[in-house]
Amino acid sequence: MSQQAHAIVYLTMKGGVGKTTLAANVTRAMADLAPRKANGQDTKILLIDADAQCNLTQIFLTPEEMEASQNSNLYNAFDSFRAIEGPSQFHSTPYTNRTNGCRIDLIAGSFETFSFVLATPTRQKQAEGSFRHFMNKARAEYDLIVFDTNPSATFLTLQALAASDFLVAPITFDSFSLRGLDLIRRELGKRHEWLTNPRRIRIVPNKIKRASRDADRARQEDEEQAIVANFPHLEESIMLSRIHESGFLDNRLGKRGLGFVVDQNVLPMHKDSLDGVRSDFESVGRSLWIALAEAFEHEDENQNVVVASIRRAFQGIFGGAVARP
Amino acid sequence: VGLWRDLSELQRVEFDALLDELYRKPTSTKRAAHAKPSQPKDDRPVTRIAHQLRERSSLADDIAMAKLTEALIARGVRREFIPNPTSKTLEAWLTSLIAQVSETRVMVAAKQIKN
Repeated sequence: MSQQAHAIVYLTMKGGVGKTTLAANVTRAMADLAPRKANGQDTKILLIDADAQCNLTQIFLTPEEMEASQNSNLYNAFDSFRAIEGPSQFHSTPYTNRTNGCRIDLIAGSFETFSFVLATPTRQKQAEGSFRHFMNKARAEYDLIVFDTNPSATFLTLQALAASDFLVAPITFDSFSLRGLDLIRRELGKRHEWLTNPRRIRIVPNKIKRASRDADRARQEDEEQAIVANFPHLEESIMLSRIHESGFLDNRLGKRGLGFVVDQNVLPMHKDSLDGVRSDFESVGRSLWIALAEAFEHEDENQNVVVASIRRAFQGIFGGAVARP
Repeated sequence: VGLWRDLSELQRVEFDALLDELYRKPTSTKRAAHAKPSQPKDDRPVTRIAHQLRERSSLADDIAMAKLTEALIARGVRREFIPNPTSKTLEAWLTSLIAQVSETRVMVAAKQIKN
């Protein structure tokens, strides 16, 4: 069985749906849920900020730290000499779960990657080749790779998509979000056939209102069903697990170096609300691990060991223990 | 005339009982048709799938487990990933199930089950 890591790309064509927040925090939940590998090695996840706006990076690094990461950010992965070194040479480690040993490494984003949009075709081809080499090394070194992207078909977004084999699309439940995703599936599916397989796509409803009254839940359910009815081919991709609206998730972008949402220190009166957010991320994270295991279960040669063992690990612990750091 | 004949044969007590019964019944089928189906008590995946099976497909728990098992196998899910339904509540069984089979796949299969 190969050790090649699967790569998830967080991508939609609509901004403000929560790509970056989910890419960071659901990945953290996945790290907490990851099984220990049979060979005793720790599970490693690589988080790559493939958005030139660097929002994901700003969650973890202060402006000073970002400045200091100039020689180790994503731009270097497109450099023919630096790419050979692979990700182990230029990452930071924003998180390690002390219980299961799972580690999240970050490749910081780079404003300079914007220059590839206007580069000559020759320069773009050269950069693509370097990035492919870099990703081959990353797949061998890590168990899972996660890209955060920009909501438009930039050079960087297309490179992230080309390097991935699974798509996660956060949506706020409206027709535009699903239409944007349908567009990706239809148009980019011509280039990357895996995008036409509903098992390789997970749509995560985000910013869902917590309806406490029956009537509100009924209205919410009716609205969702009406939207889904227009996209029947996406039904098998839409997760039942969801992220609810929460003050903890608002306006985090722009506040630099805040880290993961669940690590915030809160007053005792807000603890239950934060636990609700934690529970949502865990539910989506667990569901994503299962979806990955299902998506690749018939492709034993490409199956990654961590993904293959996830079902065994979840037997008996679902709803129970998550490896707390 | 027919109605008068029927009514005139009734005793006063029987007539009052009939009136009471008429008052209690919904006045039209329209109101029944507009009644909202019950909603799951929260939006967690297990609650929503259980609600789909119990309320929308009107299945008893043991039948729901058996039919969902059949439906999942028909959709290509390997038997080894479906937990044994022995004496568990539907919710407990579904909790174990979605730790092995993706919740979306389970819901799509549940929606296709007819009582």
